[in-house]
Amino acid sequence: MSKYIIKRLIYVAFVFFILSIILFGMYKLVPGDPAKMMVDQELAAKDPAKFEQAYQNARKTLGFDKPVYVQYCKWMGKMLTGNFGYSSIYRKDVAEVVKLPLLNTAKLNILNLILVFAITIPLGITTAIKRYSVYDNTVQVLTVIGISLPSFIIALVCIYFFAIKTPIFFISGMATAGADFHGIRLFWDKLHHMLLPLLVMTLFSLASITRYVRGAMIDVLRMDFIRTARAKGLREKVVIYSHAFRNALIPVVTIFTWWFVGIFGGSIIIEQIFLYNGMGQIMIQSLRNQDFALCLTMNMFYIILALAGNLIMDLSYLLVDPRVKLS
Amino acid sequence: MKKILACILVLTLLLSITACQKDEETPPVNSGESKVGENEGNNEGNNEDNDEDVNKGPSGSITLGSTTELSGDFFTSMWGNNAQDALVKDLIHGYGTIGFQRETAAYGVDTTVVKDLKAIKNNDGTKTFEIEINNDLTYCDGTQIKAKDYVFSILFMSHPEVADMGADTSNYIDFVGYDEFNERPEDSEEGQVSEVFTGVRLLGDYKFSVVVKAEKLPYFYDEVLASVSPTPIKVLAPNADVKDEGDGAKITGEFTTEILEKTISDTDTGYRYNPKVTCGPYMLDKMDQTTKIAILKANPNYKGDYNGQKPQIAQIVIKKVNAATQIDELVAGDVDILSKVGGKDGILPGLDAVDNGSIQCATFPRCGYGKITFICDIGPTQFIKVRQAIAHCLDVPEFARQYSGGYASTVNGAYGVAQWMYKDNAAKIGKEFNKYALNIAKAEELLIEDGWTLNEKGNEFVKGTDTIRHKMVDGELMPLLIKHLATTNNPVSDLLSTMLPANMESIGMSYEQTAVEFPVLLDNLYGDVPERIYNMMNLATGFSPVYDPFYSYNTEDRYMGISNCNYIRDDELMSCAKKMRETEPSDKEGYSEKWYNFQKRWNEVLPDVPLYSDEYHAFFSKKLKNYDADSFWTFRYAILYANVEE
Repeated sequence: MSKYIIKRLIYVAFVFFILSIILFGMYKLVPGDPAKMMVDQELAAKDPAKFEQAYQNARKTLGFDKPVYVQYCKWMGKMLTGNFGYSSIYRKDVAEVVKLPLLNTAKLNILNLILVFAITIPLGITTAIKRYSVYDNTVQVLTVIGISLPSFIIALVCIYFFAIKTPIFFISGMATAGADFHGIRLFWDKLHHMLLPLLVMTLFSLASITRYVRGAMIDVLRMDFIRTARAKGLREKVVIYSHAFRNALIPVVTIFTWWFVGIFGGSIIIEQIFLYNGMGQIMIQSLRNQDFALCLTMNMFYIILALAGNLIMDLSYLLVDPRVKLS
Repeated sequence: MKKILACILVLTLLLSITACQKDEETPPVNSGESKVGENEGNNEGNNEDNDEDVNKGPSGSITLGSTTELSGDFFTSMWGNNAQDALVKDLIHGYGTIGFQRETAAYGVDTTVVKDLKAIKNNDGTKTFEIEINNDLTYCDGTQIKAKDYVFSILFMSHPEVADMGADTSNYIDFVGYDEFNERPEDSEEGQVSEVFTGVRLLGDYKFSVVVKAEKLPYFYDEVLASVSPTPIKVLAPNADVKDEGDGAKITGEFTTEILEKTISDTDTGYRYNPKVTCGPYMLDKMDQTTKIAILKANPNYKGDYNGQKPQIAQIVIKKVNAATQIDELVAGDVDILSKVGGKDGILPGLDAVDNGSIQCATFPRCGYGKITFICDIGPTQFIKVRQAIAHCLDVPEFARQYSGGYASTVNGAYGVAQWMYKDNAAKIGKEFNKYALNIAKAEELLIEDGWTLNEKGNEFVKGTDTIRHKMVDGELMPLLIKHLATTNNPVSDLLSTMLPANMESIGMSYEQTAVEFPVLLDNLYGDVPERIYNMMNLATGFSPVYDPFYSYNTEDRYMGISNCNYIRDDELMSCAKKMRETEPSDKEGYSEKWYNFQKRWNEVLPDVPLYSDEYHAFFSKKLKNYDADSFWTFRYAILYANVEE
């Protein structure tokens, strides 16, 4: 087991370096000059000399005055020591820029993950058991609608009904502006602001995962060992939850792991609509403004997460299915 | 099991309902509670009913909504100038020697700050501004402001140690001695060529002077160059001092990047993110980085603006709003003011809410315009008549109407209708300038006059048979192909691609649009691409009260792309711009006349087609009274004269 993990970690390191070179190269090829984005463009029309001076300073700050391979080595060297570079749009260290949004996104996504799995697993199981019943058909129709609707449509509809027509939630934001709340009041205020995006995210995710769990359960329920268990006279609940569901867990573990890995990713659309200060917003802003240090750091972070997720997923299979052997 | 599940469900439901109840007692927190200081300012414009409240000092709270997010960088523009951060900076930092004044629509000496300002012309062509500040200025914590704080500001903003922190230290590049003070030898890691900034002198506790370089003069706006604001030396460099031993000002004591990193860049306590010792009308109470909301409180020690006006609103909250839902937020009371809304998608829902009586609004013209920028040294657009022909192919008033929903006007030069120079010359412009109305026949005539009379084989262009006109340029046939670089998700780009091609193609022009992200468009505009191939681009521009287009139309190669983004080489246009800037500051009439000549030439050579000049709307809740802003007298100024009636 430990030998396997070490082997996988070496593989992770190798892939990490290869991808870092590819990504760094790609960002260097992207048209645009982040140093120029750092300089007040109006200055060029007012005083070209000042503009040029500011531009050269920006290039120096970003390290663009060095050859590309030096830039890569410096960047990677710093990355490995925890220095993720300097954000050209936020004008501070990347680590400082991503700290809070990362936490915000994680909070929202963990709640979403709990809600989604708390709803979809029972729903998927019951629809699989009551296959082709009115209940199952209703859920199927609703999930098809859910899958077909883009998240921004769900968001706008929810805002209209729950924040404008019936104002029980806030239209956007993460806290009441100007409020001086403390303690439990502050907690409720933040949670209150989080509920509408949470509702939208949950609604958006329900359909696909419900169908996924249902499909996995149906496959397992068709297996011979289920028939055998029933023939042995075991109670239906034992058959379903102890025998069937445990076997349906492998595909569920796959999506759960990927979802868990994705809790730091953030949703560009949801965060933009609800003005939620999360990683999705940061990602899109950094891309739009060619803040390559920030983009690269986030991409590398997601690469590590993905590679770690892969490893965790393989190890999780061991836990849910003893038949799985690592090699 | 079922019972347990049912209980859990009921509990969850109850919790959700409790959480979802919108708190009726939700703030505005502190509204009406803050009674800070005495208001002795000039309250002209406020009705008598307000007098009692005004005398009690600032009260109430307003929330400003903006589609730009605060980043929380509130010191100077040296580390960038996000529009919302800039607003906070303007509100919390103050006592600049020169400030914008509404009565003249120009910058002038702020007599609340400056006791005396002498402008002395020196024999070597330089100009010295000797400034004596009043001795009763204080920061918000009560610390007295002295000349040292002003001199430190200049030294700090030009210092190589500060440049090492990623800051733009070019603000005082126009002062004598800047280059020696700012630049350090190539082989040196620390220190600079000169420790002394020779053009900056500390002349006493309340007196200092600055010397402007000869090559920058004469300059119509030269007084603006003497604009300095104080920076608290004791906060930024506690163990440093400013001294002048007769040859210029210098910083002594401990002033290193390491120290400054702590006092400035620390994300919790650094002056960039948490400037607590400031001297503007407001002071920063809190910036919540999680929610990106800033809370400002009225500064009790603020002496007033140039009129002596002090803030009447105790608290300003600044938060981001979505363009799509900003009016809903205003109606719902989540924000109290949207200070600059443009485009029909923002204006029309706002006006509906005004009609419903739930909010109020004010309008003002934008000082700038949306435009087609021609690249005047590539392909067909290098020829004036082609540019004019393209302008005649577009129904600009209809374009402006469709884009803005009727809330925009059109202009015929590089000006905004809010500029005093335009107001002075409006009648003449109306009579004498070419309006470039939609006129396909005229456009065709211009092309023929310009020699676009051949087809792709070099034979005569036959309308109806041939599609693209050609012209013999330097012995080669040049096709009349206009390459338009547009930005994605931009209604202006979409509208142009609808309104232009058919008209252009009907007279033998070929139109080709490429849509890219804005930074890529900028790269093409500034020439940061291996080969420039596009003939026109759509973007927008705005004008500040300092209108100096000299570099924008400078014909020297070194300015191409950097400031002259039209790549236009018209000596007459540049000469007109030069004459404007070299007008003596006292000769306002002369400047106005030169401005007219410049605009007339611009109207002929047509570097841009101005498409629309927005009519901005400020939408605000009914509790906000006496808010009277315009394109120059922006929120930062107007809010001092406004008050809140709950």
